[in-house]
Amino acid sequence: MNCQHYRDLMFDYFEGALDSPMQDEIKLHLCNCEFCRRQFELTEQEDQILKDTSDIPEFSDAFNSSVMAMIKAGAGNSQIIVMERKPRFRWLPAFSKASIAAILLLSCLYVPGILPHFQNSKTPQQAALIKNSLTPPASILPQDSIKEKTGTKQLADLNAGAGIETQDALKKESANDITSSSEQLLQNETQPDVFMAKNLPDSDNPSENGTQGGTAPAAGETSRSLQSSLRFAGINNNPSIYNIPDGFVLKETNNISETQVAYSYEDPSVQKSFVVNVFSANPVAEIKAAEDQSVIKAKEPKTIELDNIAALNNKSNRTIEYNGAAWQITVTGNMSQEELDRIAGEISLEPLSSQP
Amino acid sequence: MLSDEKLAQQILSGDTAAFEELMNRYKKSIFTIAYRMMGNYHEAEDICQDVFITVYNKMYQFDSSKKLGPWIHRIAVNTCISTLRKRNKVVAISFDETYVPGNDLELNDLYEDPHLIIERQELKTEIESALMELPESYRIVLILRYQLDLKNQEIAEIIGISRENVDVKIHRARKALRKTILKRWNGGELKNELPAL
Repeated sequence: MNCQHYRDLMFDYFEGALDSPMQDEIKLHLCNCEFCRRQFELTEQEDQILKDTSDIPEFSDAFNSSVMAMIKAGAGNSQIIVMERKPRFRWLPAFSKASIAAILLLSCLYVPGILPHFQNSKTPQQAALIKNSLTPPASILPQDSIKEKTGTKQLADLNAGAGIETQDALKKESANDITSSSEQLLQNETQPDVFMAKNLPDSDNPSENGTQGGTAPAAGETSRSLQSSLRFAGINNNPSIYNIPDGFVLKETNNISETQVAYSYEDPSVQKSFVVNVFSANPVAEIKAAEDQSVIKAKEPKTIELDNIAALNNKSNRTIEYNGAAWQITVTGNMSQEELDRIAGEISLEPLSSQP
Repeated sequence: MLSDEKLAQQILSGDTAAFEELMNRYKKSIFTIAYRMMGNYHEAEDICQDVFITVYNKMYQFDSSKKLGPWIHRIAVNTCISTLRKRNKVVAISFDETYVPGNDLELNDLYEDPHLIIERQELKTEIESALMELPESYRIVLILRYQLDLKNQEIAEIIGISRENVDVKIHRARKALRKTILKRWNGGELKNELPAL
């Protein structure tokens, strides 16, 4: 090998990339060739200098804090949020996105008001079907359930049993919106935009208010909020409850689902309360009731704490036919079965729109 | 001690302390890259800040199945190149090959009487100056290889070329460095009796 060949191997020599015989051969050559030896010495010095970091200045102590201050000042916060969101949607396959879109679309179709004709069209056959279908199995649908509602949001189901178990499927809002404590109920009563149908008889018909067992209406506001709730609930005419026993005051009205409204009454003087669940009867309600039941079957029960209605044990059922439709009435309360039967027997319904 | 990848997960969950820990691990190497590339302290510090803010903002893009170090160093290298482009207006860099062998000046033609016995400090100054004269792509591989003491495979991951290409590039960078040094020693004049490398 000539000098050029050895110099070609010079960098590999200092990298330690040559095998031992070759290294020995190069060393031997360097002993005999001063020119090459100088080249190798220069390369070795270059190596040492290139690896030398002693002249790198020390880092400023304030560097970390200045970067963190910039990040906290907004240089990176928004992106951190993005960094958690982006991959989530990236993982969704295309068909999942399409499924979600389809579900949202179908949900929109079921919103009352978009397709009102579905809810208003009734035939005797349909009414009969509804009558049969609107009595869900007790094991599936908690007929003694109550639901809270604040503002335009539909809130929690509740049931009357001591276990306070209810079905998640009936909820239209997330569990975060569920307010079940008595404290929250109290708050609801103080908020003007909260839907609290204190008195079902419409203010347009004040003469009937006193005679039908309800307390005085809230002058027009009740009517507007009630109409609002009707659109929301899917029951075209939220039925009014009449012939309530003296002393009982309507605490609140809850639209449990599109097929069910719950009225909560209370007599503070005797500390008794009962809940009237009214299941509406129309073609849409029939379909929805069947769907609700199928969904309910697939859902796990969810426990909700209800402090103020812990003892709604007994219940009484009754079916009322009015205006060509069947209305399933369930009365649940912390009183004897006889009392509940009597209340259920005396209750009458009259749709709001039919009042003079 | 938590792995870099665990730290990355914690940063993604909003843990700023984890990000500080990450800075402590990498700020020295990033500053070294920046300082050697830019040649001055303040620019290097500014680049370090930019790099860490970019790392924080782009952490969601980090592929957790890979190593974090090369990813951060790549951001540092790109930030340096980007800053140099802004500073020099025109800096064309290609990691594929900027050094064409056919265009090589033969070192035989450059070298006359090598004053090999020089002070180490003088040589160091010469080498540092020569390093700054090298094309950025060569400068980067030399910094990563010798200043950060990275393996050629790690350098390949950082600058996005094959390991074999890194081998070749380092070799050519060393030759280019030697040529630049000799050129400086000889005042840029081409000589005929120069030894080959």
